[in-house]
Amino acid sequence: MGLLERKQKTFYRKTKKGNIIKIVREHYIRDDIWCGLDGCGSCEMEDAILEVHNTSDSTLVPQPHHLMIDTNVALHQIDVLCDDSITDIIIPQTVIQEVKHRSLPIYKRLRDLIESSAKRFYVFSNEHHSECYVEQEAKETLNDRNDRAIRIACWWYSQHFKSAKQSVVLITNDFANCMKARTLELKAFTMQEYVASLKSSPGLLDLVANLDKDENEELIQRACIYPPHLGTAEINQGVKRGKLHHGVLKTSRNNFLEANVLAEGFAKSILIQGRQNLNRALHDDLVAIELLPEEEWSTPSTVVIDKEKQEEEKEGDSEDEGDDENTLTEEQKLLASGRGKGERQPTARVVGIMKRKWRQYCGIIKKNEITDSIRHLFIPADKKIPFIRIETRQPDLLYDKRIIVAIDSWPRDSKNPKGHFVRVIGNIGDKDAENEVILLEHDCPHTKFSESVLNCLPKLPWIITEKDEAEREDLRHLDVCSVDPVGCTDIDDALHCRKLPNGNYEVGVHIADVSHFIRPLTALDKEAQNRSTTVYLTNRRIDMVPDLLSSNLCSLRGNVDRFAFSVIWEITRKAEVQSSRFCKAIIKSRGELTYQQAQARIDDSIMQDDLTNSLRNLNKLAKKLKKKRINAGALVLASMEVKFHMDPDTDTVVDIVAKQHLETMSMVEEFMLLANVTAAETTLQHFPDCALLRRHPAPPQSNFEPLLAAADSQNINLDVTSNKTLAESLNVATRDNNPFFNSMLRIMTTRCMMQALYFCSGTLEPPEYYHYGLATPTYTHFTSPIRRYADIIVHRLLAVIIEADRTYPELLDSKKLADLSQHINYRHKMAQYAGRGSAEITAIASLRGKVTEFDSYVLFLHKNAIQVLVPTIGQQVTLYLDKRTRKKDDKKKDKKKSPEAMEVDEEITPTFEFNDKELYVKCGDLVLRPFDHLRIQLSVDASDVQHQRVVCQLVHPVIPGFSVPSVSQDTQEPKLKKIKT
Amino acid sequence: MEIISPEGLRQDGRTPTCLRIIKCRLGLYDRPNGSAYIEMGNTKVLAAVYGPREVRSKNKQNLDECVIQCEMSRIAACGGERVRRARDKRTRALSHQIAGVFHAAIRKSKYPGSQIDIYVQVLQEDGGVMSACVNASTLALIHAGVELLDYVTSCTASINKQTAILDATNMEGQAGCEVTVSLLPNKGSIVSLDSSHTVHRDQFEAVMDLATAGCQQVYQELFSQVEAYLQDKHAIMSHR
Repeated sequence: MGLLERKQKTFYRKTKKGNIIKIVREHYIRDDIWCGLDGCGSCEMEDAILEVHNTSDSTLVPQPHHLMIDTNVALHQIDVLCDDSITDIIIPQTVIQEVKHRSLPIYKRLRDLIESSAKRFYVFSNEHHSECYVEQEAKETLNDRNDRAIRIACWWYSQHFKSAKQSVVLITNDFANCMKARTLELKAFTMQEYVASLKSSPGLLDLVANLDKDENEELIQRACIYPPHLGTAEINQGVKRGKLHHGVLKTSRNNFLEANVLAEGFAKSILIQGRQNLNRALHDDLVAIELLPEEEWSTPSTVVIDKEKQEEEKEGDSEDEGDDENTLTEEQKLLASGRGKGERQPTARVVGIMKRKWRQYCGIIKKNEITDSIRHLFIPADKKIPFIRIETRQPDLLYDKRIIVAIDSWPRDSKNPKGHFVRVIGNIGDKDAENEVILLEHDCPHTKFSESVLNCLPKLPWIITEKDEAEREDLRHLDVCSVDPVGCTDIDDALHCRKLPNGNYEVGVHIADVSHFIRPLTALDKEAQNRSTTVYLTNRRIDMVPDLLSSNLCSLRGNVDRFAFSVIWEITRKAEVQSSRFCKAIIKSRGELTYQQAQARIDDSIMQDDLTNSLRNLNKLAKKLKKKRINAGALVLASMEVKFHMDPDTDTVVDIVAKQHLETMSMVEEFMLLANVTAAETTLQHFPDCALLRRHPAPPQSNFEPLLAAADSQNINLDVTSNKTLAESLNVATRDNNPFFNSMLRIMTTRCMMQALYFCSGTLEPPEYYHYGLATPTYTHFTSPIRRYADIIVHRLLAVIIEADRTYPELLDSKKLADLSQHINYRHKMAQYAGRGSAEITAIASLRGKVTEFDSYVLFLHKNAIQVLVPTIGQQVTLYLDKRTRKKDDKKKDKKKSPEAMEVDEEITPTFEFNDKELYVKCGDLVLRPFDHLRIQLSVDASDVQHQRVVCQLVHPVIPGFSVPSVSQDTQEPKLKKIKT
Repeated sequence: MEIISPEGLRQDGRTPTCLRIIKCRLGLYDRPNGSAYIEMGNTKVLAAVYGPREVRSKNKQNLDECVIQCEMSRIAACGGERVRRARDKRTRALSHQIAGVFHAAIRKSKYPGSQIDIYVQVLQEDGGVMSACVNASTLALIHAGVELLDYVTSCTASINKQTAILDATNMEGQAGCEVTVSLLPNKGSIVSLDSSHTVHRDQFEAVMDLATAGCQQVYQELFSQVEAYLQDKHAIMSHR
């Protein structure tokens, strides 16, 4: 048993230099590849996956049968394959290799399906099977050979299964392949035919991707909206000649008809405007572009275009082709109207798409006026994605649901891409469904922990053994305590401080020893690594590690023995670090304090117990440390985060509070920073090539442009040459009449910053390790291993350094570590976005059903809109200046409750004049500039159950014909809490 | 790159512990005292042995035992792409290493004052070059009738995601590490051990055990080939 025969696979490859080389690879034919059918008799496999069937669900194939799929079915109909009713599929190796080659995400999904035992998918290694191996014939393309290999495999199965009274059905969407299979006397059908014949699952047909044939493309050229795409060969040639460029397309956040491409050789990103120039490219696609002649270059549009608004205004049926043309010209006009007079930017059009980044999209179905129609428009939650046309036979079931849709194709004659329905998430407005939408859109893994992961957890009751005690330093005698926000259950840090006889202080930071419980390469480790971070939504927390660890064994709760990874410093009275050491320890926290409690203890001079005194000392030292840090150039930035107080029963927002700032917060922060810096220095010293560090690159000067322009309009001069000068000029930039001014400035500065990133020290040069925001040469994360995976890696490295643990191969592999840090960076970014998205939804929910007035400040100005910041709810909202939409809102108002709106004279339509050089919007005598205070009215337009939109209207300053009168003052307006600057 | 598929097969259809097919021939040329050719998968090596013969430079001469010299070379296109500098530092280093291996295997005191030259040429390489060179040289030495303590057989192993894989191809070796073990199979002693990349100590034992086991398999293969060759030779001789 084993190798039977040796074949050689020969192919040619072009090297980087352009030489063509011949590559020969061995290919062994085996005689021990089994069919995978339980009860086959002649095969000797150990774990048979496929089961013998006795009945058939299909009307097309009355015999009991198994399915075999070809590559295109796997690629395009993966959603059908994911459905629970589809089981027992044989996947030839040829197919799985081709899928891997053509689409990695689908390959991953397919592998997941193969792994789940309930699906019973079997991979048949036909390429190495003695009877199924086929050689490429002369004049046969590789595709044809592969199709033939699949047919041969299918034929072998049908012969092999005869004795077990099973038959095999080949599912292929290729007509020619179907025919050829039938000449071999095989049963072959398309996915559509087969699924339609299934008796028990009628809804499945919606999942079938509808792929139109490309053949009739020439016939419908007249109606084509989009120019054709170039082929790969043409693109490569064009790129080589310098005629074309390629890069990743990034759709503008404000305007879905505008995108940017960062291409090689261009200092600035290249602009792409309009539907036709975008030519069916979607956000994140890798596209080939052609520069337009210089006279057609344009400037980034200053209008805000919301496609939902557009669609609503039209209110026509977009299936009408003539209407499409109208919208196109309309869109173009709108875009043109927004063209500023600023410097013109290189502008291009998309000529081809090199790699699609299609994924599954969450969203809702737009109500169709024509009943009984199966064609519907799908509105994605992501504003950067166009509407998707789908077909469904169950629209009534889907109207008030959040659903997932996948794109299948985007033909030239269709304004919107075509897709198919995948599954329902839940009801619109339902808390769980909304959360899931956020998590799915941001690619956050949020399923329950699997059995194998939970098996890695320690068994309860958990006790500290003598061995543990021998290995660890006993620090239970120290007065350690933790200081955290209210309601925190995953406590990962605790502190202590005591005076030494020589007048110095011994300060310890004790971090939960998560790496003791999460051993490398276990299922638990892999899951934590995949999640990389805990995701915080306003009403839910998605843990990185199971609850038993995150809120119990690893959480440093009061008055229980816990394992800690401690860093202990000797610090002088002037807050100079004399020495530091790391150790694994056992600690017993004297109490889980909240920031408020800790603050109260410090402030209360009567309390003189050891714990309080050590807190006071810590606080004193922290202030000195902070001062040093600021002197080194660290930035103090602001965000507009707010805290939502939720009623847990009804899940409604009870109160919104601006995050309060207490001294104790910066006390804890200071020591965490110190611990992180110490950890970074120590790991880097011992592992110069494979330390996991965190860097924060200095932003390029161009990033500061919007900030400087806004500051200029207020005659503020900011010096952005270095982080220190920036920090200093921010400190002096204040306005007496606007207490929020400085915070605003800091919020805007935050938006100019680059993302901080994890990286592996071996992959960059030391000067690049710098952390701009904190002004430290090296930095890493060490203090929150419960909610960040990077910290676990740092813990493992430190444990090796203090000889408490062993290394493992992946830990010392700088390439693997670099890949891992990329992954963590991605998850972190997504988790951050998810958190913000959740806050936004909660804020909107809190506005529902009433008209509320807020104080707000101008953030950005556009031609047709102003973006304002509402600190009370911590959100940014858009105040549209164009009258069309406003009128409609008024009309709606007329019909509805608000009688005041009637008083508005609709005849007077104010004109707004926008100046993008000096940054102001002028209306009559009134000039609006950045940072100006506006009083606005917010309400939620709930006229459409499916889609609720925030309506923003101006109250003060009064602009006749535009602003609305204030609602009576007694409405329940939350008081604006002063935000500490 | 997926080195081992979830189905448990490698790219070329082998299981992780399976050797590539070995083919060899003894006695290709008349002029050298011994010659041999070996194919381990797509790694193909030619070896020729001259000696024992007179030492060329008298100052190297050792009157107690013989001098062993090895010269290895690669043909310009052995790696697929033509390389201009066929004799580089790495090749020279490998030559020394191979000579070192046979210092341990040849009964040097049998040939005092003389010299044995081993010339190895790599025709095609696809991982395990050093191994193939050692194996080919062993065969050539046997063909030359040089007295050996034991066969010297050599084999490589690599690692991929916790799984040790035997007889790594170029691709597999680059993705993991290429640990080359040369063994005196009947004595069970390792005469040379080399790794192309760093190997973590947790994995090292598994890799080395597998490579050692591989050497034994190679020995079986070579032994049967030599036996077949001798029988063949004997048949011809007795026929005469």
